[in-house]
Amino acid sequence: MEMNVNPQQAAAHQKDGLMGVVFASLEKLLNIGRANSLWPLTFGLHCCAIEMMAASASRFDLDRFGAGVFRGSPRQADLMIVAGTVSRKMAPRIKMLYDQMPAPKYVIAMGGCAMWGGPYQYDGQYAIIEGVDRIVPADVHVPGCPPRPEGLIEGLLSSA
Amino acid sequence: MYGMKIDNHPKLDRLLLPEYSNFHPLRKGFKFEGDSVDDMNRTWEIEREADQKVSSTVLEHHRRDYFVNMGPQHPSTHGVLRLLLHMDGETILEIDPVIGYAHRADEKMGENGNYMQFYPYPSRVDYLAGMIYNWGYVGTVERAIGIEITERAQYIRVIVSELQRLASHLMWYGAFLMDVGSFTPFLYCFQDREEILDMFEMCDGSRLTYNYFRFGGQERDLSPEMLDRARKFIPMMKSHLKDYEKLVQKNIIFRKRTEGVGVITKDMAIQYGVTGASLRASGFAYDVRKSEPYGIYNQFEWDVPTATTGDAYGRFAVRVQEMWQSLRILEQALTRIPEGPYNNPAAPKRFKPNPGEFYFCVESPRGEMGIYLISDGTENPYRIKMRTPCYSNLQVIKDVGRKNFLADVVCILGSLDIVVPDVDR
Amino acid sequence: MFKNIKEIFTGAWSILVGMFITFKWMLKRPVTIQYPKQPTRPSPVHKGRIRFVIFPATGTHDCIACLKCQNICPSDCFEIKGDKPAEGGKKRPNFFTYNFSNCSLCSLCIEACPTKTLEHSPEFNLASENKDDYFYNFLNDVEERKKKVDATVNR
Repeated sequence: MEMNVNPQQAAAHQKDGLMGVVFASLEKLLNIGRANSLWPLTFGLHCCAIEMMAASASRFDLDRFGAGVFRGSPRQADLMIVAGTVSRKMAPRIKMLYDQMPAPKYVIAMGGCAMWGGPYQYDGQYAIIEGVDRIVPADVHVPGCPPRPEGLIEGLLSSA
Repeated sequence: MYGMKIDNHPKLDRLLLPEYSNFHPLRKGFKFEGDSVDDMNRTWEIEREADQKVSSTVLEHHRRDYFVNMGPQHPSTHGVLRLLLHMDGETILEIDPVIGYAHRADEKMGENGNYMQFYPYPSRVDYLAGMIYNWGYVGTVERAIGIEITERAQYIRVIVSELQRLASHLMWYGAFLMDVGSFTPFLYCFQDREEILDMFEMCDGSRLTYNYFRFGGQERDLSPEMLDRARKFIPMMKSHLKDYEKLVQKNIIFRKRTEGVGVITKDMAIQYGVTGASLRASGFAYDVRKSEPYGIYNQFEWDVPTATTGDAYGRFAVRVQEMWQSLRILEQALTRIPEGPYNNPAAPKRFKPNPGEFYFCVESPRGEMGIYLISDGTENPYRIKMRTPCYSNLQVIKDVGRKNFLADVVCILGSLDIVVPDVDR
Repeated sequence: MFKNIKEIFTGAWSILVGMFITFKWMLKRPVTIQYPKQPTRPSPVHKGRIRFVIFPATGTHDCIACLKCQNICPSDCFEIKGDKPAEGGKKRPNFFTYNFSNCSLCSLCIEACPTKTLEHSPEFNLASENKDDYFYNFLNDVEERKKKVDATVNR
């Protein structure tokens, strides 16, 4: 299969069915690459951040799944693990960081606080946003307070 | 939070809440009218304008200095802490910390429920010292209602607290060395920490945030397997600490990176109210377990380690020595733990303490942690105030950063051992 | 001058000692657990989400809808409604939901329950794409678990 094909020629030969096969398998290859090297953004806010660090440390190694390289800059990351409670003061920055990430991008909401506000949700709460998906769309939710590293690994595998 | 106005204050701005907020949450009778999605969008625009005003201060053209924003999301700030660095070339003129990004309204939640319902929250304020903060809260309430604690429970509390101190210092060790540049000790220390977390899981069931303490004792007893495991853990930890000393403490690169950096003098530390290892590294031997002993700490033989230099290397050395002393206390406690009941069955579940003010402080790995409780005779507390060590320790960074370089900021922040929800509660 | 030369030698020696330590650790057994191929085993008292106890004597739970767990929970995780059955007997719940996302696993509900019908489940690796999955309906949950037990017994 030729990989270095001109896109204009590709459109012209769409009827033959040839170019479709080439691009489908190229897309599949890229998706395999993306799934096996999801680079997370360091975004630990509260307690769940420590379980995220424990998941990337010696016992439960995230590097086995290709996700061990935690990037500092959102431009180089394609997975944002929101670990912890989202406070009202921090919310605009989360939106800014999510906008700066290049597509395709995914968000894992880790912990009860990032899902529904967690133990900090009550009727007079003035300081937190109850659930990160009021700000950014979350793809996978991992419950617990804090969730075990195995839970985070399950979440990562289901988003990969 | 109360809306007090102080005369001649140099900068009376909002500290913990967003800059544009106009409400005072800790007043009684405060009711928060929630905002809709439109309001949220509008508030974000106001936030962004406020941000730009702060970080791009208009400077005249002939000035050389500039501001660098080490923003809330940064690999080395150990959480959401924002530092505004006022720089001249590569040298720092001033560090201005901006806090409030981790504020979760813990103290207001204490006023909503009764004393039992506040249990989960102290442990989440400083999640690396969950057991010790639990002891702080439970100790305050026990002082308020005047309840006896059994002897086995006292020994269990000491064992669990010292293990927690070890776990916290191991985590700090790994994170500090990762900031300074080396990745290996992070992996080694986390494996040791996992051993301790396994032991905690055997006694309480959770790995990070615990609810093990109850008024008058503990939730459940320590099993013999857990005690055996702790006894085997001590010699293993001692040999690991010797290895780490050879690997890290004598390493020339580490010493060049941390010696002479971020010097806190004794006067500066006392004026700012710094406690913990940062104070002990400046030469002042203050440890709550020795000066105001709580529990049965006065029955053990151990020393308070100090250093005289006050720099990052001194703080590092003091914390390593604290780990050795914790192992010493653990050994003594594990040999002397008596049989007996682990909690007091006469402890009440719902109670109304006498009206009054009560204070109890414990030595957390970061410094002195105290809980100040005002009770008005009802089932709900009137006010719970947490005196957290990192709030006072962080203030010193304004003066300490002067004349250091940009690369040293990370080293100073790591050696002060800041956990950001501890600052903001 | 001599001090600098001496520092060069002590520094180089410290780095060699460090490398020797890492070499020694490299030859030890690796501590990584190859989850998910290798199972991890949390301890028996591990605190997972809350669920009903299925008593072996009756084959079902013993909740009497006294609302003590609902009242003591610090995070308002429970929502329970119950009534007395027409033929008499204890009050039973007809609506019992539990929100695991708000739960802080403090076990106060388990201690407060007078019939000891709540326990922690040993599940520890939950993850899903839909966050409403974690509003558990305990009555349905008990039926599903009973079916699973019957299926394994009658195999």
